[in-house]
Parts: sequence; structure tokens; C-alpha cells
Amino acid sequence: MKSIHRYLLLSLIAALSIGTLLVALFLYGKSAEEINELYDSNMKELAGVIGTRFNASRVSESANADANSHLHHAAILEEEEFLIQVWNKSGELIYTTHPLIEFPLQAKRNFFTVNYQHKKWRVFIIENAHGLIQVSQPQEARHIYIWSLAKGLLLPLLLQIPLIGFLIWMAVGHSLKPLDRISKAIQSRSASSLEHLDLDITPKEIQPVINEINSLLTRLENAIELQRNFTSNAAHELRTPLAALQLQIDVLARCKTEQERVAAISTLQKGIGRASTLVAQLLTLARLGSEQSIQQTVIELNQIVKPVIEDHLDQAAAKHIDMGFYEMPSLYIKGNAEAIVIVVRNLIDNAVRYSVPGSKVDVITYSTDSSVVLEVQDGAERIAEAERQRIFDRFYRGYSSHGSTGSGLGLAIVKDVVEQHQGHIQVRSRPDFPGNVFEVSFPNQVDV
Amino acid sequence: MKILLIEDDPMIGESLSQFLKNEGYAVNWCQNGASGSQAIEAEAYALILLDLGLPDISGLDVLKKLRSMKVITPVLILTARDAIDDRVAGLNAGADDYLVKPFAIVELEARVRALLRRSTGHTGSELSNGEILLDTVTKVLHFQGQSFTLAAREYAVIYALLETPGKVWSRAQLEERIYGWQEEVESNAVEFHIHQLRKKLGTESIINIRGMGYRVKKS
Repeated sequence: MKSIHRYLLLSLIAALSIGTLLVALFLYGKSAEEINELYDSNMKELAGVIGTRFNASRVSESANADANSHLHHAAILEEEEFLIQVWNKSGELIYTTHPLIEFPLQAKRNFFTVNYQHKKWRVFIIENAHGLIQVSQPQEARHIYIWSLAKGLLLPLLLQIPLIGFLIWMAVGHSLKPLDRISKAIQSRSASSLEHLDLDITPKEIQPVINEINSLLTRLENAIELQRNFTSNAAHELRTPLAALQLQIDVLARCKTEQERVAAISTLQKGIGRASTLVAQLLTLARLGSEQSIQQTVIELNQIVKPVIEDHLDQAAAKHIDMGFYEMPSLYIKGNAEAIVIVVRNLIDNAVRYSVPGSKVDVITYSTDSSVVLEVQDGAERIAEAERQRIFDRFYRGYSSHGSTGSGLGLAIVKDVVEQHQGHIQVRSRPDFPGNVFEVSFPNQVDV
Repeated sequence: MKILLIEDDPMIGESLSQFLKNEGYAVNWCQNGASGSQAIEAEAYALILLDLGLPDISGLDVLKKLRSMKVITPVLILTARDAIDDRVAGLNAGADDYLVKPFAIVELEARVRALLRRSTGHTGSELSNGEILLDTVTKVLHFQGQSFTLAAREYAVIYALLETPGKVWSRAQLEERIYGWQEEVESNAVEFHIHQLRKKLGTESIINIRGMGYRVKKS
């Protein structure tokens, strides 16, 4: 897991170190340049002084005396030490400060840099009427001085790293405190407390996160509320079939004749069947709620509708209901086949169940540019205008469904599934048709 | 004793009316609030069993309406709603008792009996004119040291006669009281039940007033 604290700390300290290093390099370069310039001008001045003395046709004793201290130096290591050599017009070396160093007379004039015995030398040569004066110094000697100068500068620079680092650590820690506070506030909550987090105590930067968490909490609360309502409704609805079962068993227990007993057992079986259906429907609803959009594949609608109609033919025949199917071929929708079967089965089942004996049930499928439509036209009592929206509510049992033992969940399940498939369901009536028309449309999946 | 059952669930309604008939009550069963209200206006009942979750009108509205019409028939609410608020609302709307589904049938039976007793001004579970004694719990008839078990309809007839001893009941009144809708009433059904009772109690205990009907002696 990424720690903002550690990341901030490491990156800020790394930035600080790199910055310090760059400053140090810059300072080093700048001071080297300045020092080089300084020594160059020293060398030039020295050559000028020697030149004026040399003017007196010979190198003065005092110059010799100056150089005496270097007589035995085989190398030049101090910053103020220069190799001074004088040649006369005929090319004779007439004077040198370091007899042990055999640095030759260079061909160039004025300032330049040459390599001599694998070292870089800075050289200044002037020529006057009497000869040549060459003042030279190895760069190394300068570097020693530059380095010792730089050391004095680097130390405070390096010392600032831990000092500023500590301050950064404090600042980072302090600025992340609100996060700690929020996480503590969340930690100390119980699963049931869904009040919003306080926006006042949080810094501006975290507020979008808090806002999102709060809106998630709201959504969660709504979902829990829905779930709670559903559970309590479901528990309530289970009471009716349970009450029926209780009564049926009581009646069975009090039966006096064999004939009564057989009748009572048959009613009891129906009662158990109804309770089982309700439980199955409740489970379907619960599952639909939790497993949204599982396994969406492309489905051909007619292939689902046909077997469902076949399943209901006997039931329809028993009520002398004339069942018809009008299909437009190749209707493709995207969805979960199992769930679509539930939709089709519920609609056709309702149509057959509520249609009056001797009426007609037509199932029609067709497509438009944007949608695939399934229409189920029944021969049942017309659903009143006012009831048309409510019939899709959970546990609503319509006035026109009286006498049935439905749970009031079938159409609620249908609506849930249809909406999960971005579809739309409505019920209407047609002037040329006696019953109701249930129309379900799904988005058309033309490209297969 | 005629009971009006207003219950939309076909299974509960069927079992309940079957059971009550077996126990000697006449039952009229309505499956929605509108027909229930009509039934209340059309006929007098000893008791109303009322479901609250009806498809058209809420049971509470049915109850309020009948109380506003000054109908004092005892009402027992049968409902799946068990919250205290619901019970209070039901009782405040004029219900006499409240039974939450699912319920045991013996409890329903006891409550029905208690409500009927209260509404007819009796305090105990026995009805008597000093000579004949009817135990409404066991449905056993006691007469001159002998005990008789009764068929459902016989019980219903003697119950009516003993409820207000001395009151004359016409054949039509007794018929209406002991038969519900959709029950075939044979022309001499009441006479048959009276005959069965007289076989147990002797001809003197149930008196026929010509042109008026039947009564038992006033204590």
C-alpha cells in the first residue's frame, strides 16, 4: 500500500538533496572560474614585474631571493607558487624559480593551457626587448585551493539537508493529520451509523473525497432502506399463506369423515404450493437485486418465447383460450437468458391465468429500429387506468386480480428484470381488443 | 348465528368459512371491501370478521364507514399487520378485537365466542333458560341430568332460542340466521332441526306458536 506520508517525505528530501547538490556544483563551478581569473591576473602581474626587472639586462638578485624558497621543489602544489622562467634573446634559459622542473618554453604566447607530463598547466608568456618571460602553474595546484574553499561552503549546504528534512517531516505529518482524524472518525463508526462525515473539520483538498464518501453513504442508506422495506414486506406477505396453511391444517385436524379429509389435504397441498411459489419469487427478487447484469449474452427472443407458450398450451386449452403467436424472425437482444425467461413466463402465465374462459391470448414479437418488442394481449378484465402503474409495485394485488392466490410479486419481478436490461414495460388497452396489452421493449441488438 | 367474513385471500376465506360452518355458524363471505360494505347494509350479522388488506377499500375504511352508520355489530379484525400502531388504529376505528395472522383456529373460535357473548349481554360461556343449558364451548346440551352432543345446525337453532329465552323466532328468521349465501335451504330444514332437538329434549321444551314460530320457556 502506498503511504502518502512516506512518499511525500522521500520525494521532498530527494528533491532537497538534488537541489543542494546542484547548488553545490554551481557554486564550485563559479568559484573555480573566479579563482582561475584571479590567478591568471596574478600570473600576468608577476610576468609584468619580472619583465620590468629583466629590463635591467639581468634578473635581479631580489627576484632570485624570492624564488630561493622554491629551489628544491620538484612540483608546484601551493596556490601562491608559480614557475617563473626567463629566456634571453638567444634562447638561453637564464632564470628559473624551480630548477628541478624542466618545463620547456612554449611556442604560443599570452594565456593558454598545455599538457605537460600528464598534467594541465596554465601558462602566460610575454616577450619584451630582452627576451621571454614564462609564468606557469599546474591546474592541480589551483584545484587544491578551490577544493579547500568549496569544502567550507559544502558543509553548511549538507547540514541543511537533515535540518530542512526534519521540518518537512513535521510539515508533512501535520498536513496529513486531517486524514488520520477522518480515518479515526470512520473507524469508530458502527456498521449501522450512516450519518455523513463532517465537512467542516476537513481541509479543502480532501473535501471532494468526503463529498463522494457522503454521497456513497446516502446511496448505501437508501439501498439499506429499500432492503429493509423489502424484508419487512416479504415477512408480512408470508403471513397470508402461513395463515392459510394454519387454517387448512386446523380444518384437516377436525375432519370427521374420510371424504372431508381428502378434500382438506388437497386444499392444504395447494396452500403449500402457494407458499413455495411466494418463497421462490422472493428469492428471485433478492437475487435480481444482488446479481445485476450477470452473464449478458446476445439472445434471440423468439427462441425464448416459443417454449414458454408451449408450456402454457394445456392450461389455455383447459380454459378454452385461443392462443396465438405472431413472430417477426431474428429478434436479437442482449441480456441474461434466464432472466428473460422469467419475464416471458410471468407475462404469459398471467395472461392465461386471468383471461376469461373462451377468450383469446396473442403473443406478438417485432422490432423497430431501436427496440425489440414483446406484446402479450390477454382476454382478462381490463385493468383500470388508475391501477396501471400500481400493478408493477411489489406486493400489490390488483382489484381485478381478486380471487387469485397470486403473491403480487410477479409483475414486480418482471419490471425489475426489464429495467435491468435497459428495457421498458407498460400496460395499455386497445380499442379493438377486449383485454390488456402488456408491452415490453428491449434495446435492439442488430449487429450479431 | 350469522357471521360476515370480509377476506380477499381465497384460501383463507375458504378454509375459514368452511370451519365456521362446521361449527354451526352461518357465513357470508365477501372478497372485497365494496361488497362487504353492501352486505353490511343489506343484512344484520352477529359478528364481522374483517381483513384489513383488501384490494379495493382498506378494511379500516370499511370499519369506519359501518361505525358511522351506527352499526354496532362486533368486529374482529384479522390482519397480517402486527405493529402496535396498526392495532391501536384498528381498535380506535371501532374494532372490538384484533387477531394477527397467522393465528390458531382455537383462538379465533374463542374470540368469536367471547365477542358474541358480550354482544348478547351474557357473561359466561353457558346459555340457559333454567331448564335447558347450552355449553357454548363444548357445544353440549344439558337437559334434566342428561347431556347431548349436537349437530352444527341444531346447535345454531338452540343457540338462537336460548340467547333471549321467550323470544319467538319465525322460520324465516331462523333460516336467515343459520344459513349463509350459496347454501341450499330445503323448504322444511328448520322444522327438521327442531324435530331433531325435540327428540332429545321432548316436545314440551321447544314451543311452537302457530303463525309466529318457535320459542323456549322464559326462565
